Amino acid sequence: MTNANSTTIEQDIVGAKVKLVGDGVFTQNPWAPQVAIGAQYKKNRDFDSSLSLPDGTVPLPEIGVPLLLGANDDSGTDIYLSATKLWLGTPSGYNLLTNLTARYTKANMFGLLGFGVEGNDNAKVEWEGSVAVLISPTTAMGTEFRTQTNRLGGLAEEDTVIDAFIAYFPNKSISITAAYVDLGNLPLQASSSGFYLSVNGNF
Amino acid sequence: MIKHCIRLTVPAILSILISACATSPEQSLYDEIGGHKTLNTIYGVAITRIYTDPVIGHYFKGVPKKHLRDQLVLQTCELIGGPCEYDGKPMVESHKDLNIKEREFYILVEYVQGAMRDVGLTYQQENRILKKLAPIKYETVYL
Repeated sequence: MTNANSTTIEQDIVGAKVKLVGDGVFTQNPWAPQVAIGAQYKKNRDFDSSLSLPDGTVPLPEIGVPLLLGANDDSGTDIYLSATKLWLGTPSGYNLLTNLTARYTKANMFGLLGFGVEGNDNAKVEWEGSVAVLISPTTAMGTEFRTQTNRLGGLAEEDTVIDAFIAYFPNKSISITAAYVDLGNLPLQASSSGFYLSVNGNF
Repeated sequence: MIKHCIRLTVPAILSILISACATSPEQSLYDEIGGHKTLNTIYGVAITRIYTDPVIGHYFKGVPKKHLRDQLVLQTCELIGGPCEYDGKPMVESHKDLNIKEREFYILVEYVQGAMRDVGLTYQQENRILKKLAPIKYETVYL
């Protein structure tokens, strides 16, 4: 754990989302969002990956970071309900995209620190939301927040994650997103923030 | 005539009047974009493309271009605050047996958006018009 800077934790996520009701774009009467339900199965790959010290010794075999911090499980399934609405022509002729999501989860730090804690394996409701303005037909900028279960405590105290982003989508198959993300406290790294850049293609 | 005089003698005052006019809440979106002439050009451009579209063009076989264009102009004029009243067939009735799919409706929307841009409307004007047109989706698409 003294070597936390170079610790890598990976997880696999498989998800599905379906629309339940509503039309977030073409129903322009107020307060009628499009509602979708989704599920994400997450499996942490490093739950029991041993940590080696700089001298090469492995003091705690088969105990990875999540386990060491008190997580209960290496996998979990989030169920979420998501409401989305595009406000055409608002503000002053631009379009505003809003989303609010309730997520029923037992993930610690999105699952990177495992699922549940010793003595409490129940899921709880966490909230996430976003507001974005479409400032041109190809550009959106906005902000997001996401609350976390914060049940590990101690070193792994979790804060609400926030970010600000700008996304550029020159056509239907390519998007480029740049963001500034503040993850709050991470184990041995208080106030973790940084820049994020991603390029996505759908062909 | 009076305005003409003012323009000749006190151009500064007229420009203040014009800018006050441009931001005045009384001016409709219809007037702001240039009224009938602009709408007629937008739908002229859009319809030419719609009629030759491989996916949705067939829906308009036998519909005279001029008739559709006039109806769309009239309907949009009414929706964006112009001095018009749509007197055509109710939309639900004229689309009810066509089984138009959602994605086909979106193709048409994109032609109208494209025409608004090509004619020179601002992005903001385009969005404000779309907001008024949006509810038509549920009068045309088969669900």
